[in-house]
Amino acid sequence: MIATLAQHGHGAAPVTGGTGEVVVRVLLLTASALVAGIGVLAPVSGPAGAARRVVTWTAAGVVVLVAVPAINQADMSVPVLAGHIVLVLLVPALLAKPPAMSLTGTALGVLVAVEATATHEGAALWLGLAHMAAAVAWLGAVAVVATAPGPAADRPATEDEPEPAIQRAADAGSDVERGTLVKRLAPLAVLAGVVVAGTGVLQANLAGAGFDVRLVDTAFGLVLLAKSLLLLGVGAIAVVAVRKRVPRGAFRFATAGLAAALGAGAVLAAVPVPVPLPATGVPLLRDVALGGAVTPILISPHRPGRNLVHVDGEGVLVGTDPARLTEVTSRPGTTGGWTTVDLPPGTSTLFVRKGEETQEVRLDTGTEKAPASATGVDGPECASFALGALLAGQEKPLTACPADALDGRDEESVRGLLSFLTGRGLGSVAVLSDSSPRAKQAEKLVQATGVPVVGVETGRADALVVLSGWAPAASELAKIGARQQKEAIFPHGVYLAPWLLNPPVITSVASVILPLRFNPHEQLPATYAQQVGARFAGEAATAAGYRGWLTGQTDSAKKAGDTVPALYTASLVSILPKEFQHHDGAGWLPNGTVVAVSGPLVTQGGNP
Amino acid sequence: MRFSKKRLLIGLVAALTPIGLINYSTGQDAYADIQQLVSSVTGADGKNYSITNNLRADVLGRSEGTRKEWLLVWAGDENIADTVVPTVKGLPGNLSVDPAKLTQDVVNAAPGPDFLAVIDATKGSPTYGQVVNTATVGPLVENEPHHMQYIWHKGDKIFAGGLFTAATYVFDVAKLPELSLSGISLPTQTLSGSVPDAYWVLKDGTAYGTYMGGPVVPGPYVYENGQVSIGNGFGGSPGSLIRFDEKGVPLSQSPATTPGGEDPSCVNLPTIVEPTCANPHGIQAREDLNRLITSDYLEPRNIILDPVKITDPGLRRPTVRIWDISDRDNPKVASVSYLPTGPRANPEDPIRNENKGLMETTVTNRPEHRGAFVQSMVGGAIFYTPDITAAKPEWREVFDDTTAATQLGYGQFPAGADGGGWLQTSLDDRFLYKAVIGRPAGSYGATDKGSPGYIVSLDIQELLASGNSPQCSIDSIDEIANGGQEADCPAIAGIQQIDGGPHWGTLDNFELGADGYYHETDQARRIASSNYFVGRSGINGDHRVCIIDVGSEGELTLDETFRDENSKQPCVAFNRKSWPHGDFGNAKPHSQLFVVADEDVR
Repeated sequence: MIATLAQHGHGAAPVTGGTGEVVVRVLLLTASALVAGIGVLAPVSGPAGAARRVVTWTAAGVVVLVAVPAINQADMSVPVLAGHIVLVLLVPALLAKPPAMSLTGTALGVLVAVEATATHEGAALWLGLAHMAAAVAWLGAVAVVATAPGPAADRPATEDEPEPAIQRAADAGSDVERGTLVKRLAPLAVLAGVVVAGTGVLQANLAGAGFDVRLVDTAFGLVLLAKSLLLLGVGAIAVVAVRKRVPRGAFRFATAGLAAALGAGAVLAAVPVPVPLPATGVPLLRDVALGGAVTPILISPHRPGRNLVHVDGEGVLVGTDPARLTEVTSRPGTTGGWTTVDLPPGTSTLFVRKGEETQEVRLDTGTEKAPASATGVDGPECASFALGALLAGQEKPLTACPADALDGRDEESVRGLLSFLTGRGLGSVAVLSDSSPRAKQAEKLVQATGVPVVGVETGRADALVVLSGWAPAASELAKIGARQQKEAIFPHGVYLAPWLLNPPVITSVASVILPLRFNPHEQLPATYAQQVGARFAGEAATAAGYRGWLTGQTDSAKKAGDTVPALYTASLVSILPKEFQHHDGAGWLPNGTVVAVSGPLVTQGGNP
Repeated sequence: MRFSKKRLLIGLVAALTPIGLINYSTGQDAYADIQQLVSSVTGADGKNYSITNNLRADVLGRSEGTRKEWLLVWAGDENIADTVVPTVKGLPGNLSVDPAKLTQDVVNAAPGPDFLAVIDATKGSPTYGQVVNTATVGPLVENEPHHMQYIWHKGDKIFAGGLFTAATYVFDVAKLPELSLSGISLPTQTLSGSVPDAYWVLKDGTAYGTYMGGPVVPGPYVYENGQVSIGNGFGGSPGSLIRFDEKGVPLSQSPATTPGGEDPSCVNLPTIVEPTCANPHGIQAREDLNRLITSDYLEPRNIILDPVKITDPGLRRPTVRIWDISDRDNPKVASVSYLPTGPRANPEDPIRNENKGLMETTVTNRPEHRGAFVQSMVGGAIFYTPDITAAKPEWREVFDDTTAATQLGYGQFPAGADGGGWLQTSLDDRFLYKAVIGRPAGSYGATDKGSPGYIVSLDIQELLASGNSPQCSIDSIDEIANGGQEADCPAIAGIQQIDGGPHWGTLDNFELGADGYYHETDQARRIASSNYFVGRSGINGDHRVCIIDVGSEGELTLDETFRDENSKQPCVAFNRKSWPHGDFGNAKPHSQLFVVADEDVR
């Protein structure tokens, strides 16, 4: 199981090299472990006979053959590779000097273990080191026994060998007899086997592998199964060998089996870990490999009936019938591609295609229905909330969406915004709203201020207040942004409701002001924004997503990350000539910033 | 089996050698002995703001006898790599190393703090080039640390701006290498402007800062002098000049725009009733002349609503403002000059005219001189006026960057857009220094091979000696690449190519006296440069801080003894895994200052 943890650990990735690279490294690891194991046990396994010499030199030769060509690889650490080769040659060269051979074998074993786990941290690192060290010891013990001569009785005297072979061997200072070695190494082998098994189970658990259908219908599961069976087989031979004599062939099989198990473990590093089974009825976030890239995909609400499917990028088709897939399209006020699919209750499969490549995503929608708003015009905002919650580890069903009602915190923020505007003595405002319950309730707050409201299209109001959802806001603000390049309209600015903190919306115009209950330049909001960009490339950090993300934080974080409303301005800050610009980066506003421009807003009493 | 001590030792060596081998290969560079000291103030919003010193006791505990000079570097955490960056190269036995994916993985990390790095800049010191302290700021993250003042004098506080937080930090450096926070100005205190750029500290310890962007809230803004201007919001126009006290409290906020609006060629987005080019960026002052000069760069928002349509040339400013600062708390714009377009100007492609994007300005220093220089980041040229006290200063182009690029062996044509940054006269007025980032190949099409990055030293003695009658004028195609033909034109005294995008520099205005103390000098013999601009905007740089030695005749050579403590290569790399404040990965060094602790300077 060398390097299995490499991709089991959080955030690590399976190797992207080709099959050839995988084969080479599997050979290198297995052969190195074999050499190291034989070397480590040299002081207790007696002088090496011809068989052990052949096996050790052959394994070392394999390492050199596969390692030397790798020196030219651009990403290969030459000092480590050179050290590896030197150690692997030193071990068989010191066959006649067991103490030195043991030290060299130990060094090689440690090197192999460290190499295999070098990219891991924390528990994964220590588990990997223990697993590897035990595997080396176990492999060494089995190999030493397998290459030892059998009992004299097994080998009758011949004309050429009139004396019992073992007697001659002992006289010549050669191998210790196999049965003696079995007894001598049994405690070590049993301990190593227990450690290999225990750490292997923990590694698999850490990787998210479970005892479920994925064990037989995924490549990872099958390799893991094969490795487990091999280890069980070797373990069974060991148990039997301790109790009674077993033929030499059994030890050879054990050696080969253990080496194969070691190889299988190494292969696991190159096989994608199967994704967990979907949580029933909970918004689902998965990665699919399409066109050589990992494409995140979000299914929301992941309930029976109409669902939103959101992916990063374009040209992706999805559906439950591979013969009738629907292509995702862009939606105003959002990033990436979107479409809807109708899902049945219970388990089903979503097919995701790009070009000629099709991948499958397991679904389990359960039986409960989700609110209609989860897939309506404000569905993407609801999906963003769901994504934020998923990022925070919250696997809970969507029972309501932000646009269903004017949340008390948002109401407080809107009141604060209107209080600020009335304090500026505006002669009139224009209001951009829509038919959602939230917008309607917020609109009433504007009416209550008594400030004359004029049509948006006139552009004659002192300021524009936008209370709609993402889509109408983005569409209308784009038109207003274009007008602002030619005429001075809304001279007091464009003000947005707090739920419109969403880059595709706020960058539709040059700059906006909106009430927020958190400072995007503080640790919690900045962490959320980075996590969104890291987990779902191209996805925007949004107010809804942040609110969803906060649901998975500690109580103190929830309190610190959602305080009292103040006004913030959101503006691009490009400051560079266009030829230098390549818009990138994640965060609340790529190539821009969101900055506080007021203290806490007046939200109680007064007007409104 | 009985283990002797010798065998045990050998066994340990055998076991640890491979780990050492890999550690060598992966370049681990963690810090161990760190002393943390926190300094905090209460901001105008009632919140606690702080800096946390992370002093390296292992380095600072050494006694060398020589007093220390420090290089302070204002740096931002690079978010894409702000955590432990596994620099593990491909190891023979590791199947999971995938550098491309590793880069993606580190994005998962929480944002790291921005910081002021304190580097040992004592030439000859055994710890020369080592980072001895990182003073991290909090709680604001992603400040995008930008500029400080241009040069530091004994007793000065350090004023340091956050481009994206619109905050101005004030640091006390009297007890270096330890720092303390004297104050912070939040954007809610500087409503007249946004996007702070640079600072100039006056003799009384207060400082002026340029706020390049407009008032934070669109609409009419009433300045303290009664002037009313219509602004188009944060990152827009018009910018302002703000004076701070030594705790960062704004003392005055003055309009950079002139009443009634400016030339219609000044474009603002969104359109405002009274157009203005007032987006002050560079700033320097001559207190003896009661004059301060600022150069307008561009409307920082510079919004590109249409990615296909070319940016409006009118957004790149060609203007220089000279302020009357007789009343320090009521600076008034005395003149607004529109600089000449230059011989490369193309009416059909005005966006790269020599006068576009006036990023930096520098004044002459000696009492007999009254001139000033301005350089254009987009235009790639240097302009000069002999008298900033004149009612209508006359500006002329005196140098084209193409001349410097040609000297380095680059056939740079068409010139311009080479990313000129720091501009500074030597304190004795003999030389003019300039940093140029370099232009990426292909900026002007497939045949554009780009232009180099460098620090150049120009001999300006003849030009300044010409008094109010300079003859130098870059006005022909030949003078673009070969320098001005007139005798008083600046001539290249030294040039040091620096790959990686040098944007900023600062002069070492200290020398170690025979008394063992540092003294200020006008014969600066060192320049510190930094390779970073604004990563999010497209010019990132390789995040190295270098020192360039200055010869007595202005010749420049890279100080190869100023080396990174990890890579052992010349220049200090801010791309590293570990800092004294933790494993936060790469950092972005924007500006730097040579500073000496109060007790070590006389």
